[in-house]
Amino acid sequence: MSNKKIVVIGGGPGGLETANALARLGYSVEVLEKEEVLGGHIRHWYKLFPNLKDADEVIDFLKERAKNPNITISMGEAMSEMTKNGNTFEIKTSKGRDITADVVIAATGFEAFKAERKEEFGYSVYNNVFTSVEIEEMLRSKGTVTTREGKVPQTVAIVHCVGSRDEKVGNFYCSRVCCICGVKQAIEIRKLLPDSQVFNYYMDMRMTGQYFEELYRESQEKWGVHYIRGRVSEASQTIDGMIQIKAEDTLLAKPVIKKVDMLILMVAIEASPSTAQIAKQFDIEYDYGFIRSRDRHNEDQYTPVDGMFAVGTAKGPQTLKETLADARATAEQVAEYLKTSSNE
Amino acid sequence: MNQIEGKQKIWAEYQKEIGDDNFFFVRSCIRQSFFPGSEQTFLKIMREYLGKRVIEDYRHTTCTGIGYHSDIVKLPTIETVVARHFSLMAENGCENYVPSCVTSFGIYSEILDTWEHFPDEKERIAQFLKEATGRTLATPKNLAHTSDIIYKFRNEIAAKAKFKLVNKKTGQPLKVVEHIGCHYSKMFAKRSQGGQEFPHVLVGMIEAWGGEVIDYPERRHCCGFGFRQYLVMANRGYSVANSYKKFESMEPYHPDFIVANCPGCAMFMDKWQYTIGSMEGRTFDQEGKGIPVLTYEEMAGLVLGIDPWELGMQMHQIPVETLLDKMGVDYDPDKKFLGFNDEQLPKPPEIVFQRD
Repeated sequence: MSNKKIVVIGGGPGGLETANALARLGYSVEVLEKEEVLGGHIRHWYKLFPNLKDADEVIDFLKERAKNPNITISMGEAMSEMTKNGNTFEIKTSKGRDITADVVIAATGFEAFKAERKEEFGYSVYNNVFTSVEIEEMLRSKGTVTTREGKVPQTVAIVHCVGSRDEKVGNFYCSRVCCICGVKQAIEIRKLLPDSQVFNYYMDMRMTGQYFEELYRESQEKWGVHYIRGRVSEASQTIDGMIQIKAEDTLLAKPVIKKVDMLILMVAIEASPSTAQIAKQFDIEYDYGFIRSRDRHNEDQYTPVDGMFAVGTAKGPQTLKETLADARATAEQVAEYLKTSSNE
Repeated sequence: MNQIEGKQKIWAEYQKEIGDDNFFFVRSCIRQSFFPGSEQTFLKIMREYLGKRVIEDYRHTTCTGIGYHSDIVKLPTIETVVARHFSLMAENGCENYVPSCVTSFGIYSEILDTWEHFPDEKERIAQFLKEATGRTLATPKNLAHTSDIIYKFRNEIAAKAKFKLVNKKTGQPLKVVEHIGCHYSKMFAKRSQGGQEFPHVLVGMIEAWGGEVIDYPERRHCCGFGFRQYLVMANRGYSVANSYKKFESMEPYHPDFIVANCPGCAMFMDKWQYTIGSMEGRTFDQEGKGIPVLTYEEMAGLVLGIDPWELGMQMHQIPVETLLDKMGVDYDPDKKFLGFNDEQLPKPPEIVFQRD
C-alpha cells in the first residue's frame, strides 16, 4: 500500500497495538523494543483493573496480533539518537543500525516514580516498605503477598499519591491510575489473606474510569478495606520490624499513628528517559518530560513535529484501556497522514 | 538492599562542601550557659588536636534568632545583624563561617538563600548595613555548622582516639541515639550532611568512633523545644510531652547515651528527663539514673581522652558517670565540682528518681 518507512519506538501495549492496527491497514511497520521481551510494564502486572483480568491475557492478545507479515520486531534494540532531516527521521539504534523513517511513532511510555525520592517513607531503608510495582511482581511470581521475611501480613497500609500531586517532588499532576490500583491491590490482599486488614491513606479517591467507582464500593462493602483521608507524613521501623506510620485523619481531624506489617507506596507515572529525551530534543515537551500533542482535542495523536506521532503514556498518565484506544486512533491518524498527496 | 545500603544511597545525595581551614567561629547564646565546656572543646580540638586556624571576634553578637522565631525581631533587622556578622568574618580575613548554634545555622542558611533568590533584598540589606555601621556586605564562601566540621574531621579524631564508643566490659559498641536539630537539615536539606530524613552528620561520628546508632520509631520527632512550646510558659507541658514520647520510643533499644547537634535539643532532652524523673519517678534507662545526653563536642572530647569535668559534663542534669564507666574513662569523682582554680563549686544534691 505504501513504501513509506514507519518506525514505532517501544514495544509496550501502546507501540504494539499501533503497529498491529497499522499492519491490518496494510502498512509495513518496524517496532524497536529495547528489552528482549515485548509488553512493556504490563508484563510485570498481575491482574488488571477494574475487572481483575489476567494481565497476560492482554499481552498474549497483543503478541498474537503482532504475528503479521507487515510487522518487523527488532528486539533488544533501542533508539539511541534521532534527528529530523527534511521530511525524514534518521534513527541510530543501540545495535549501530541507521534507519531512515518517514513516520516515527513515539511509544516510549513511562517509568515508575522512584520511591526513594520520598525519603520520609523509608523505601529502600526499611525492609517492609514496598512499591505498588513490587506488589504486582510479587503477586505475579508468588501468587500471594508476604513481608520480605516471608511472613503473612496481618496489617497492610497503602499510601496513595506517592510522587503525584506533590509539590515537594515537583509533580503537580495526578497519575490517574494509582487510586484504582490501590483499590485493586487492597481487594487482592483481602481475597488472598482474609484475616488481614488493609488501610488506604488518600487525599481524594479519583475513580475516573468506567466501573472504577463500583470496584471502590465493592472493596468496602464486600472486602472491608479501610479508607483514611489523610497523607502519611513519615514511616519508621519499630523494634519488632514493623513499620510505624504517622498520618492525619482529616475527616476525624485527628493525628493517627499505626503499626503495620507492610507499607505499600502507590508510585506515580513519570516520563521514561526515552520519552523525555524525544520531548526535549524536538522541543515538544508538555510538562514533566512528557510529549506534547499537536492539539489536545482535535489532533491528540500528532505531535507538533511533522511525521512524528505519540501514543499512550509517552503523552502523560493513561490507563491501559485508554492507551490501547489511543494506539488504534494513532494508527488511523498515521494512515490519514500518509494518504495525503504530499506524504503518500 | 539493607538498611545501611539504603541510607548510604540517600547520604550520597546530600554531600555538602565543608571548608578545610581558616574558620570564623561564632558562639551560641544558650550553649555557653547550658553546655559551657562544649564550645571551648570545639576550639581545643580544632586548634590543639587538628592544627586548624579558628578565629573569633568579640564584637560578634546574638544572631537574634530566638527573637526572630518569637516574632519579636523582624526579618530586615535580623538580616542586617547577620550582614554585620558576615562583614566581621571578612574583616578577619576568613571565608568559612562556622556557627555553633543550629538555630543560627538555620538563620544564616535562610538569609543566604533569600539573598540568592532575591538580589534586590540583598542590595537593600547592604544599604542598611552601610547606613547603620559603615560596613560593606560580604558573604561566606562556605557555611558549615560546627557539627559539620567535627564530622569532616571524624576520621582524624578517630586516629587520635584514646577511647572508643565501646562498652569496655563487654566489648560491644555503645548504643547511641542521635538527634538532629530541626534547623540543621529540615529547612534546607541540601545544606546538611546526609539530608533531612536520615542525616549522616552525627551517625558518621558515632560509627567512626566505634558506636552503634539506634534507629527508633520516634527518631524524627521533636525534642520538645520548638521555641513556642517552651517560650510560652503555659505550653511547657506540651514540650515535656513531646520529649516523653521520644524517650518512651527509644527505651526498648536500651540506649547508652543520646547525642544532639542542637543546643535546644541537648538541653531539653537532658533537663526534661530530670523533670519527668522528678514528677513521676520514671526514667528510660535500665539503671534508673536517666540516659546521659551529650553534645557532639563532648562525645569527641571523651573519645580524645579529655577529662570529663574539663568538658563541662558536671553541668548535665542527668549524671554522665554511667556512660564514663561503660567507656572506661578515668575520672575523679571528687573533682566533679571543682573549678579550674580548684575552688569548690556548689554541689547539687544527689538525684534519686522515685515515685512518691
